Amino acid sequence: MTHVSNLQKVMDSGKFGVTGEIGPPRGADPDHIIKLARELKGSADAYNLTDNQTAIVRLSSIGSAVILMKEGMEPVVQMTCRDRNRIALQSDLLGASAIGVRNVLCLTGDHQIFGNEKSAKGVFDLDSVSLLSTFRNMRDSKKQLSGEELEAAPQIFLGAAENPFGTPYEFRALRLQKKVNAGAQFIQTQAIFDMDWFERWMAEVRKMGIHDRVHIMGGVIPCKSLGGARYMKNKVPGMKVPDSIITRMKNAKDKGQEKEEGLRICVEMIERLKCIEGVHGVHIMAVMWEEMVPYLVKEAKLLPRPIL
Amino acid sequence: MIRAERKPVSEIARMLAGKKKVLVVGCKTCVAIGHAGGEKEVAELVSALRLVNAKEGHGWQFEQTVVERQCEKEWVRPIEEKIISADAVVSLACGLGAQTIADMYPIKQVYPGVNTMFLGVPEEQGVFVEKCLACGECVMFETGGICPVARCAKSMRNGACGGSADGKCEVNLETDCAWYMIYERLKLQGRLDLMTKVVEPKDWSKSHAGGRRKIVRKDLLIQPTDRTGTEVKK
Amino acid sequence: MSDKLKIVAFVCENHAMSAIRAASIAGESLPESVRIIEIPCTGRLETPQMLEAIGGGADGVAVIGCLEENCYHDIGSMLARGRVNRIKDILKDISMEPERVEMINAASVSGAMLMMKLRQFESRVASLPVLSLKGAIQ
Repeated sequence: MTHVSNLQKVMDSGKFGVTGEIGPPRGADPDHIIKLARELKGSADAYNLTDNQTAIVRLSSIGSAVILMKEGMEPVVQMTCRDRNRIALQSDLLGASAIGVRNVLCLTGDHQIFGNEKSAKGVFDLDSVSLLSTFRNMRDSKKQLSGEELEAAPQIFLGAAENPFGTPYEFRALRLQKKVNAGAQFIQTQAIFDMDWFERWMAEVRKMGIHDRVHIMGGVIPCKSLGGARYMKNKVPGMKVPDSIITRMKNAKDKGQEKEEGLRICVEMIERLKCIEGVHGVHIMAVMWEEMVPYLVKEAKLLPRPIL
Repeated sequence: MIRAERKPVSEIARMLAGKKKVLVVGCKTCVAIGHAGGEKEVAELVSALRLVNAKEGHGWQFEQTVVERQCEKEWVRPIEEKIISADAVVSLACGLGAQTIADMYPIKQVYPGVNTMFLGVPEEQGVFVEKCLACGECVMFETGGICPVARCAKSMRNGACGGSADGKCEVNLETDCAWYMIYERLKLQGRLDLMTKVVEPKDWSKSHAGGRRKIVRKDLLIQPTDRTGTEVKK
Repeated sequence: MSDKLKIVAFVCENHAMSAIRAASIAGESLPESVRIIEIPCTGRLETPQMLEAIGGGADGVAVIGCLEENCYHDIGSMLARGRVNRIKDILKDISMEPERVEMINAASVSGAMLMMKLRQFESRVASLPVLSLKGAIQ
């Protein structure tokens, strides 16, 4: 099988994959990304560059990818359906592939109401599933969505997200299957705090045989503070944070050890993920704390990253 | 039906600055049923504007009336004299009615007295909810009778998104997630197979995105033909 | 325009009027400023009538109906409350005082309570700036 990216090669060869994430800055200065890139280099197989996450205007994912590649690191470009129609999405895929991007994560996108341009017109011409199938056909059949032939096909390792904690609960494994049928080759999940719930979901996923067809990477976020944990529990739609986590963070706060406990919990999550059948990697979203990724990967005994 | 919301009286009063003879026209159909622009609301607006007039001394003189369906020329023509003798016409009909008057009497200043909002149903007395976007290609037979275009905030065809929490939409926690409802409905009907297939993107050219739409019903046109059966332009 | 305070009270002919009669039997009379307009039910009152009352010279408009949980016509005084609130919104929107209009609910035997509420309303309206309407409303 041909591998188009390092991330694909690592997971296809049966090794546990690691992806990090960099949130681009809210300005045109590339230094923020360059600085983070240098701190993170070597700690993951590829790094997600978010696409105007929560509808806040940031340096674009593809722009960030160029900066990252100059540092010798592999990007995962994220593309949402909120800001672009099928013309722009297909065009951006051709552009990304042309400049050397080899991993793309297809998302529907957070609604514009969450961001800092609330009056914007949300596009949503496509959704994550139809985006996956569009991109897959561009790559494998060299055809754009309308059926017209492309001059040259993009080369891309296609990914998507899935949220085992969103409703309808019974449907989440089916939806994953739908994304795999549409072309998803790797999946990054929403951050996991309720590992029991996640394990139950994985059991269902295995029953349907999906785990053999796609590389599932469990998502984790290290809590920086009790307030952060509470925010994720109460204010983020579709996240499940058990009370036990809140209790641990609260006790840690009383001892002045919030950060240490947050990191400890995250390492525990990663260790558990390594043991779940069908989980082929971990996706570390160290929001506002990206510099901790090397520490987390080391503590979870996932260093050094394989060079294949 | 078409749902509209009354504009604030102060906003309408500002539109009427410098005018003298003001005609307020309501409509007896959608906006009357929705309590936004029928006879009662016309009376309320005129009374309120009279108060503003008394307070600020604009010298407005009011005429008020209501027609059956303001969007049809036949119903507007009978009030032609009132329109012609007015300096300003405030229409409490939806955008269709207001524009009908404006198009029939282009020299007249026609002001909208309501904001036309959406196509919606009454959930209970006084509560109207949007359920149709007039997208031009109804697919609700695949979604258990629930429109994913109007009722999903992202108009997804392959929902639900990851932000669906406890059956509610991430955009407004009081709104039910349309795809959660579709899943439950299809489960009830034994048609969950419809949820597993990858659905193609919507053809937006059939919606307003493709430009202003027009329906021409050949079977309804009044079009004379000549002896050979060819239609003749009048 | 006389400078005497003018309050117009739309009073339902059921519990509200009973309360007023009960008060008068007990020797309590209506405040001098209050003019009563008897109506079958406050639910029958529409918003233009309240606006016209103000335009016609009233400094304040009271809508007096049955207690909501005991309305003679079921939901009349509840509907009236909604309309009174609508008038308050309109008054605020056109830079007039929303306190000029008030909904008062009365039990048929509580004459004294009603009179007290009316007097309170009257003094609230009296404390507002004098309404100067330039043009009389036809």
